[in-house]
Amino acid sequence: MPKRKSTEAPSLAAPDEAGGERIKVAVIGGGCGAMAAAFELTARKHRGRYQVTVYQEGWRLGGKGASGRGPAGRIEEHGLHVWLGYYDNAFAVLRACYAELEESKAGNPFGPWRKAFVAESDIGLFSPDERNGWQRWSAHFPPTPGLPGDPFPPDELISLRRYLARSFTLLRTLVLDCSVGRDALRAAAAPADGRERLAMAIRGLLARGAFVGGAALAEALAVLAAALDSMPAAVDGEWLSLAEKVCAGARRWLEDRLIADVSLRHVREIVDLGLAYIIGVIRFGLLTDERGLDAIDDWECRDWLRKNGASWRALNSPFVRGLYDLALAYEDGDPKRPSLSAGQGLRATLRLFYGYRGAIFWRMRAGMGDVVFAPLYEALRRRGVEFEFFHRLTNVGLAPGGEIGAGESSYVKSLSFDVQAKVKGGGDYQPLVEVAGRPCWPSKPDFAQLASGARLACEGRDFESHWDRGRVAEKQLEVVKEFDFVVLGIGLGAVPHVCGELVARDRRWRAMCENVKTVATQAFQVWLNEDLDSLGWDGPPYIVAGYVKPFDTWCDMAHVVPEEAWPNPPATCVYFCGVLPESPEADRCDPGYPAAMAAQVKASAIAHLKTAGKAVWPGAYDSRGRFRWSLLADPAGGRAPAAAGSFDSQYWRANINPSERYVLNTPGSTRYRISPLDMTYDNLTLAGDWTECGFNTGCVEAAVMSGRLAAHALSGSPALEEITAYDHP
Amino acid sequence: MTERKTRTPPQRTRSNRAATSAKTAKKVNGGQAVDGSTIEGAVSDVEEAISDALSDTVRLGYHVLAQNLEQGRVAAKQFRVGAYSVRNVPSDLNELTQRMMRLGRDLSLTAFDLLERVMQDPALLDVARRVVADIAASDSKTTPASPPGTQTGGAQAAGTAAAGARASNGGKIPVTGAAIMTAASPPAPFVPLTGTFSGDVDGALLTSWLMRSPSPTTLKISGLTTLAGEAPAITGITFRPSRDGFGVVADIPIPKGQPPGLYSGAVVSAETNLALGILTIQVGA
Repeated sequence: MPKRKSTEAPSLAAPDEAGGERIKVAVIGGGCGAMAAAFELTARKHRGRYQVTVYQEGWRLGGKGASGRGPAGRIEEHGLHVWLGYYDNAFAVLRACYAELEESKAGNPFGPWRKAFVAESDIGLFSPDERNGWQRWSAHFPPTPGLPGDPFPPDELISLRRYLARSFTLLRTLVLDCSVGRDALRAAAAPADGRERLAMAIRGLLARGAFVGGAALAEALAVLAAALDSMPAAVDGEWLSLAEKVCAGARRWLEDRLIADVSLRHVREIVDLGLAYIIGVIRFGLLTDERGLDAIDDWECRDWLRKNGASWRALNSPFVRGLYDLALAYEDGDPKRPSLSAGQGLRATLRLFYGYRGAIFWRMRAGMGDVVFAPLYEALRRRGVEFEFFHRLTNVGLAPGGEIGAGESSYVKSLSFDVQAKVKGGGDYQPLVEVAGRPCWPSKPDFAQLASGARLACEGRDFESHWDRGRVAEKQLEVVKEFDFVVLGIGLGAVPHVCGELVARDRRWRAMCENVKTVATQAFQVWLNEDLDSLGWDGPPYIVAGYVKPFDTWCDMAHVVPEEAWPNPPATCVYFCGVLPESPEADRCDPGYPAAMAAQVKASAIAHLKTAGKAVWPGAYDSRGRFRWSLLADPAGGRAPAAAGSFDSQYWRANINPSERYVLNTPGSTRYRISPLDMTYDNLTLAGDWTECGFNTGCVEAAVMSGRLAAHALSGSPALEEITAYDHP
Repeated sequence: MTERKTRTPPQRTRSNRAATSAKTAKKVNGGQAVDGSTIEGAVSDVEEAISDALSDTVRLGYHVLAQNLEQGRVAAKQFRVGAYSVRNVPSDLNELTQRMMRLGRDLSLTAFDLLERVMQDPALLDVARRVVADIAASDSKTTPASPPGTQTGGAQAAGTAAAGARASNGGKIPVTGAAIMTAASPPAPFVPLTGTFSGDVDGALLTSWLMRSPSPTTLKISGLTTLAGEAPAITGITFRPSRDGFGVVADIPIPKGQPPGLYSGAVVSAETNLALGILTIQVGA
C-alpha cells in the first residue's frame, strides 16, 4: 500500500508585497489549463497580488491528464500521454516549476525535469499488407538543437514562407538522394530470408540508377527554397505559379522513381502529401492571407489535400491514419468518420515536423500525475495557493438580466458547488502518497481523511463520476466577498452540465457547446511477465499508431515499471488507447451507463489481446494461436490463471465523464470557440484546450497556451508575444 | 463597501495570424519589404543566395552522375569477366540500360528553362550560367565521368551491360518494348509488382515493377521457364489489382516437385501484346 504523503504547511506568500489590495481568483478545475493559469498568476513577478484558490472535484488534479497509483503502486492513466517536441509553452511552465522546486529550501522530491522525460525519436506506423496482416513502417526523426521550452532567439519567427522553404529543401534532398531513410526503413523490415535481401539489393541497384534525371528538379527546388527567403513579396504571383509547376514535375519525377521500390512506398506517400500541401498553400493564397491557416478551417484536412492533388493512397497511408489516430480525430468515436479541420491539421503537422526541439516525442518517466501535476501542486502550495478538493461546480451565476446579446457584457456574480466530502476536523486534505520515494497521486481518495469516510467508502462513492451526484453540503461563493475573478478551467463536455445559466443566456456559449465536438475515449494497460523483445517484437519501444482499431495507438512502457512498487516487478507494461464509439445521448443519462461502458471496454480489450498482437508479438500466443493469459502480472502477487479471467487484474477505463471527453477540431468549428481574452464577462476568463487559444485542438500544449492566455487576461502577463506560437499563421 | 473588480481589456482578443508573415518579410528579406520600401544590398543578397544554391546543386548533380557512370562501368566489366552471376542480374536490366543511356540528357535541357523563369533577370541568369560553366569545367579536369563524356560513356556502358545480359542467358530473356525517353517526353510510368505463392514449394519474387498497362487486369503471361529450359514451365499465373489500390499482385502457383531455380517469363498486355516487363521468381532454396 502506498505510504500517504504529508504535505508541509504552505509558507503563504506575503499579501501583495507592493502594498495593494490582493485580488482573489477562483480557479475551477485542476487540468493543464487551470494549473498553467494558477502558476502564471502566482509568479514571483506579481509579488503576491493574486490570491488563488483552486476548486477541484474529487481527490486529485490533472483533468484528462490525471493519473493515479493503484495496487502495487502501479500507474493507472486515462490513456497514453506523450508530450511532443514543440510543446514549448507546456515545457516552459513545467521547467519553471521544476526549477523553482530545485531552488526551494524545502527540497525537490521530484528530481530535475530532464530526468522526468525520456526523449523518443521513433514512431511506428502500420498498414494492412497483401496477406491480411500488417506491415510496419518505422520513422526516425533526428534530434534537433535545443530543448522544448528553451527561449527562442529574438529573430526566430514562424511563418508559412519559412515552412515552405524548408519543404522545398526537403524535397530537394529526396530528389538528390532517394535513399533518405531507406536504411532505417529496411532495418525495421529486413527479413532474415536471403532471397528477400537479394530482391532488396536489386531494387536498390535500380533505384540508384535514377538519380541523374532529378538534377534539374533539384536545381529548381533549391532556387525556389532560396528565393522564398530572399525574394520580395511583390513577385509572389509569378513565382508561385512557377512553384506550382515545379511541384507537379517533382510529383511525376518522384512517383516514377520511387514507385519501382515497394520499400520506399511510404517515402513516396509523404512526398505526395508534402507536394499537396505546397500546392495548396499556393492555390489558396495562404502566404498572404491575414487569417493564416484559419482560412482553410472549413475544409476537412484530407479533402483539402485531395483537392490539391494528394493521391488516394497517400491519404489512406499509415502516415495520415497515424496522425488522425494520435489526434483521436474521429467524430462520435466512429472510425469511419475521421474529422479534422485542414487549418488546424496542417498547423499541428507543421509544428510537429518542423517545430520540435531535442526529440519529436517526449515520454514521461512515470504517470502524468506524478511528473506534471504532483510537482505543480507542490510548487503552487509553496506559493500559497489553496486547494479545495471535493468541490464540484454546479452553476456559474451571472448578474441579473436576460439574454446576453452580441456586444453586451455581464459578470459572474456567484459560483455554486456541491461539496462531495469534508475533511475530518476541517483541515486541508493531503492528496499525495509516496511511491518509490516520490510524491504521487493515488487512484482512489483517502477515505480515512474524510468525515464519515468509512461510510463513503462502503457506499462505493466515485467522486469523479458524472453519475455520482452525492454531496454532504452545498457552497455558494459571492463575488467581491469570496472571489474577484474566475478562471473556468473545466472540460468542455462538462460546461452544459455545470454552467447552465451561461449556456441558457449566452448564444455564443450555446453555439460553442453545440459545434465544438468532443469524443469519448477508451484505454487499457497490461503488465506482462515477459518483455516484448522476448515475445517477438522487433524494434525499439516506440509509440505505435495506425494499428488495429479500436486500440489503434499503443506503446511499450517498460521504463515506468521501476517507478512502481511491485514486490516482483513485471518485465514490462503496455498502454493502449483509442476513441470509444458513443451511445445516443439519451442512454448516457442511465445510471448504469458507466458500468456498461466499462464492461464494453473490458470486452474490447480482451478481444484485442486475443487477436491483435499476433502480428507484432507472436511469442504472446501459444502454438494454437491463443493468447497466453499467464503472461499477465497480478499485483496481488498470485499466479495468473491461464484464462481470460486473469484480465481482471489489469487496468481499463472508459473516459465517458463529460469533463474527460477529448476535444476535437472539426471543420468549421474554430469560429465557435471563445477566447480566454474575450471580454463579455469582465471578471471571467477560460482555460482549456477547448478555447480559442491559437492552437485549437485537444492537447497539453493547447491547454497550457489557454491557461497562459487566461493569466494574461487577468493580469496582463505573460505578454502575448511570450506565448509561443499564439500568433502562428 | 468594496467595489467589484473588473479585468482590464487586453490589447487584442485573437491571434494575429498575419503578423509573422509580415515580420519575416521585414527581417529575413534581403529585398523589398512588404511596405514597398527597398533595402540596400538586396540584389546582391539574392544573387548570392541563388548562386550558392546553384553551385551546390549542380555540383551534387554531377557527382551523382559520375557515380552512376562508374557503377555502369563496373557492372559491364563484371559481365565481361563472368564475375556477375546471372542469379544476381535483375530481369529489369533493360530498364537499367535505358536509364544509363539517358544519363546526362536531361541535366541541361530543362534546368535553365526553369531558372530563367525563376529569376527573370538577365544579370542573375548570367551569374548562374557562369557558375554552372565553372563547375563543369572544374569537374571535367578532376572526374573521369564528367559531363562532356557523359552520353558516350553511358551508352557504352549500358550497351555492354545489355549485351552481357543477353549473352549470359543464351538470348532467352526477352526485352521490354519500352521506348527510350528523352528529356522532353514524360517519364515512363511504372507500377509496383508484388506476388503471392501457393503450393508446397517456397518461392520468392525478384521483380518489383512493371510498366504501366492501360488496364492492369488484362495482363497475361504464358508461363515461367528456367533460363536453360530444362524444368517444366510454371503456368496458371494470374494478376489482380493490389488491394490497397496501387500496383499489381501476381498469384503464382508452384506445382509440387518443381525443381529449384530461377524462372522467368514475359508479362504482356492482352490487348496490345506489348511486353510490360519480365516476371522472375526464385523457386526453392
